[in-house]
Amino acid sequence: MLRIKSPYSQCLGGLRRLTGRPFATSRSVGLRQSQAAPSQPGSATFGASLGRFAASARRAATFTFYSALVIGALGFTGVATYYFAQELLLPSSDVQVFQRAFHLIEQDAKSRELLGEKLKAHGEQTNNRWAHNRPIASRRSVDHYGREHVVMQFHVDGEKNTALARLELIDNAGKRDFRYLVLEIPGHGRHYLINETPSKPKGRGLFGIQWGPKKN
Amino acid sequence: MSGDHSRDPCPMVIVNDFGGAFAMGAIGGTIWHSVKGFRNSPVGERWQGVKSAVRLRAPTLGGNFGAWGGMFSFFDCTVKAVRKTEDPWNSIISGFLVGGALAVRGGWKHMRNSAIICGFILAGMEGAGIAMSRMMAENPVAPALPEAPLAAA
Repeated sequence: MLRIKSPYSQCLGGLRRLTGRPFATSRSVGLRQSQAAPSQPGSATFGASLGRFAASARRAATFTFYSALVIGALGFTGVATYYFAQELLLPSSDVQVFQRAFHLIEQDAKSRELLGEKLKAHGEQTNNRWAHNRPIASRRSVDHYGREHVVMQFHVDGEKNTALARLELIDNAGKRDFRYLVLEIPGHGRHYLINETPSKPKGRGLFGIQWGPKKN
Repeated sequence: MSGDHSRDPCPMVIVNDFGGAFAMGAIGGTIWHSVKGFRNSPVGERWQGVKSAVRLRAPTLGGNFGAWGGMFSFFDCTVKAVRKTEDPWNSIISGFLVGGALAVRGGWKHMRNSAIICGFILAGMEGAGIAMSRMMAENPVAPALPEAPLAAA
């Protein structure tokens, strides 16, 4: 049998001669040296290849875990960016509609007369201690023509009074117009800044129908 | 059953936010530095290591967090007063200002970089907050549709 002495086995052999007893892990030195011997259970090379497999399995598992973490974090960043753009940057978002409406209210002379000069606008009170801003209440819907309706309300505080501002905005493929913008002030009723609510024509005849030939 | 959990009005809320941030920093710093002190001490001296690490480092972390939170709330109130509206842009502008204010010692360039980074972090947090509330379907109060238009009194 070919006896190839590796430095490892030479050290072990030396130690063995020093201490005078074989070690628990020592096998027949010849079998350990032979490179051509097949891996069998019970031999040292099988243990070594098992260790290599375990190490590469561990590496693969940590790589998979960290890759999943990075991809998940990037995905969440993308989602957060999308919602940020949708809520704060787009001109049809709640925040932009709110700013536009409050700008109109600030410029309106009658509102300033009813509420006072220094106006502040805010949303609904929440019970959340960590919320820095009071969120604006709004509801969006799409009608059967494909236009988006935004119904919103917020509070306007002035020195003299506090009003509830209500508005409806119609988003017709890019054209954003207010259908109505009204301030409801307790004690003073409603003050309409914009009112383009379409109203049904009053029927005059029997059952509301105009009988007879067309007059005009 | 639950008490009034709403925020205080603006000047007083700065004290609240400073205290909350300090508490978070102090408790988090205690946990972090106790583990660090435990691991970096020799066996037999571990408890001493924990005590000295926590005593030395945790108050600093609490102070840093508290400074950040208090300044953020201060700038938030200022921006609210200047803009007169409450929307998520206030948080982002406040974050920008806090980043700059806490880096004053480093000069203009450091202030600018720190401000931009802090602004972006807060923008990300606002986006994440909106995303979380959308996913958990927590709608703020939807407005009631008004009745037929009444004439002004």
